[in-house]
Formats: sequence, structure tokens, C-alpha cells
Amino acid sequence: MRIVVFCCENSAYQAARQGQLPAEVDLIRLPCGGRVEVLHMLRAFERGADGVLVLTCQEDNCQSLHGSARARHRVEYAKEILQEIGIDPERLQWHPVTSNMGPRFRKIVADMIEGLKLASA
Amino acid sequence: MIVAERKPLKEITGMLQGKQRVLVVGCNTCVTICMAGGRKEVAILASALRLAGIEHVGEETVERQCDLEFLGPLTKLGEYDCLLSTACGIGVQLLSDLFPNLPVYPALNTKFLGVNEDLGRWSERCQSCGDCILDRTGGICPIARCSKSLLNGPCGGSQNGKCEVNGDVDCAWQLIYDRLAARGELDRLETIFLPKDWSHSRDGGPRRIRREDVAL
Ligand code: SF4
Ligand code: SF4
Repeated sequence: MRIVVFCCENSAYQAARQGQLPAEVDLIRLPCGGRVEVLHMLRAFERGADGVLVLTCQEDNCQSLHGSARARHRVEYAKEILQEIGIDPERLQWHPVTSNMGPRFRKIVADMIEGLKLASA
Repeated sequence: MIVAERKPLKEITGMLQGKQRVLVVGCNTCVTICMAGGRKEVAILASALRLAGIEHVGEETVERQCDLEFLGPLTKLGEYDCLLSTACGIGVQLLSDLFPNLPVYPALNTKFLGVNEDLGRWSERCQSCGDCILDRTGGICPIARCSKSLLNGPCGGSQNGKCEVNGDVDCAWQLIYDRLAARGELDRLETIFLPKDWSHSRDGGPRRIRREDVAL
């Protein structure tokens, strides 16, 4: 199982470094959540990802002001695309994760792995 | 610009039923600006189609799909079953004319001639009536922006500046009144508009323009 995790380097990426990453995870470091595009998420699925996470700052605490909101909107748009072509939109999720939220980061990843295992069981 | 919107993917995959080699053809002009059918949207659509199970999806974006001059790069079409155009309806038709042996499908719904009001917000401004009257209406088009295309508005349904047909829409005639009032040109409204000659618009059949100074 592969999970691609797009992380803002100011927040979720710092959280990701506070502990061991599960073997399933491919971490992609972004300068800001606003860098992630719909195409990046779809490409991850095209290349075999089972799940994709986009983890960025809290929306009111984004260093680039709107980066996190942009990421969330794009995830919502990409989820609609997945739904329309018959892929479970829950395979793609956005969550805010601040730099000191190591445990939350690992919980989100673990929940997704769990959800995907259940879905494929 | 011409403003368009992608069709639901279900409708697009429905058109493409049975096709396994699809070339998605985008346009770098209006539909890029309204984020419906430029290079980025071509890539997203192509990716979605691959994920939906279509084997071979190519991507190509031309400068302007409504202009023969720019369709030259589309040559290696032999490897495709069909074309899926993310241009407006004009681009779709020109592609169909140029490649009559290949089915060309529209990926977008062409919506209107309009402006980009804000991030992610577009709205209609002109219906290309063929005989512009903006000089007399303060630069606000009552044909496109009044729900009833009234020439001597407002109607009795104008309420607090909003249109009775849709409360989200500004009453065009209120806008016209306010603008002319601010300019001290309210006397323009004393002149009643005579019935418009719609033969310059769609009622006269498909329209053409010929410029002898340009033609060879
Ligand atoms: S009057 Fe006619 S040409 Fe002028 S903006 Fe309105 S619809 Fe367009
Ligand atoms: S309320 Fe204004 S915009 Fe709406 S139909 Fe009447 S005149 Fe036209």
C-alpha cells in the first residue's frame, strides 16, 4: 500500500519529522500548501497511490496567507473528480496539521491506512 | 472573453464510451483564462480519463483553437480514435471541419461572453447582439444583464437594486440609472429606445464579417 502525503514545510512537514514514518508513506515537501495542484493529486493516484493526504497549516495561520485555503479548495475539487470517475473520494483528504502536532500527523496517516485496509478487505 | 465550464465527467466518459485512444485538445486563449480548457485543465482531464480506465490519452494544447493558423501542430492524429476538445464550441467545430474523419467531442459547455469579476467568479456582459447600444446606457448592457433584455427598463420587479428574476443579480436598469445619475446624464433616459432591429443578432441567421482590405 502506498500513501502520498503532500506536506507544507512550515507545518505538517515539521510534524512528520517528529517520529518514525510508516513504511507506506511517501512524503512530499511543499514550500506552501498553496503549491499543491489538482493535477499533483491525480498524478499520485495515476502512479499507483492508494491514498493521498494534503496536510497544511491552519487556515488562519498560513505564512502565505491563503496557501492553506487554496490547498483545501483544490482537494475538494479533486475529490469531486474522483467521485465522478468512481474512485472513493475518501482516498484523498486534506487536514490542517501544525508543526508541533507530531501525534496528530501519525494519527491521520494511521487512520487513512486503516480506512484503506477496511475498504479493500 | 468567452467563458466556459467543464461538462460533468460522467457526461464526458459517456461520449467516449468504447474509445480507448483519445487526444484531449486544449486552447491557450479564452478557456485558459476562465480555467476551463487550457493546458492545465487538459492535463487534469487527461489524468481523470486515465484513472477512469481509458488506455491511451494524449494531450495537446494549441494557441487558439478557433484559428486555422494554429491547428498545424495537430498532425499525428493517426494514433487516436477521437478528439476531445476543451475549447469553446467554436474550437470544437473548427477541429471537426479540419478532421472530418475523426469524431470530435466537446468537453466544455460554452456559457457566455463575460468578465472575470474576482478569483473564480465570472459573469455575463454581452450577448453579441450585433448593434451595440452601450453609448446610451452608461456602458452597462441591458441586453445581456437585464434578465428580460428590456430596452426601456426597469420593469416593475426591480427591488432594492436587485432583479426580480434572481435576487443574486443586480438589476441592470438600476445600475444604468445609478451610473447615468452619477455622471449627470439622466436626460439620456428621456429618449425612449425604439424596438431593436434583431436582424443584426441571431434572428438574421448565422452572421459573417468580410473585410476586403484584409482578404486576398
Ligand atoms: S448592446 Fe449588444 S453588443 Fe453591446 S454589450 Fe450589449 S449585447 Fe453586446
Ligand atoms: S428587475 Fe431589472 S434586471 Fe430584472 S428584469 Fe426587471 S429591469 Fe431587468
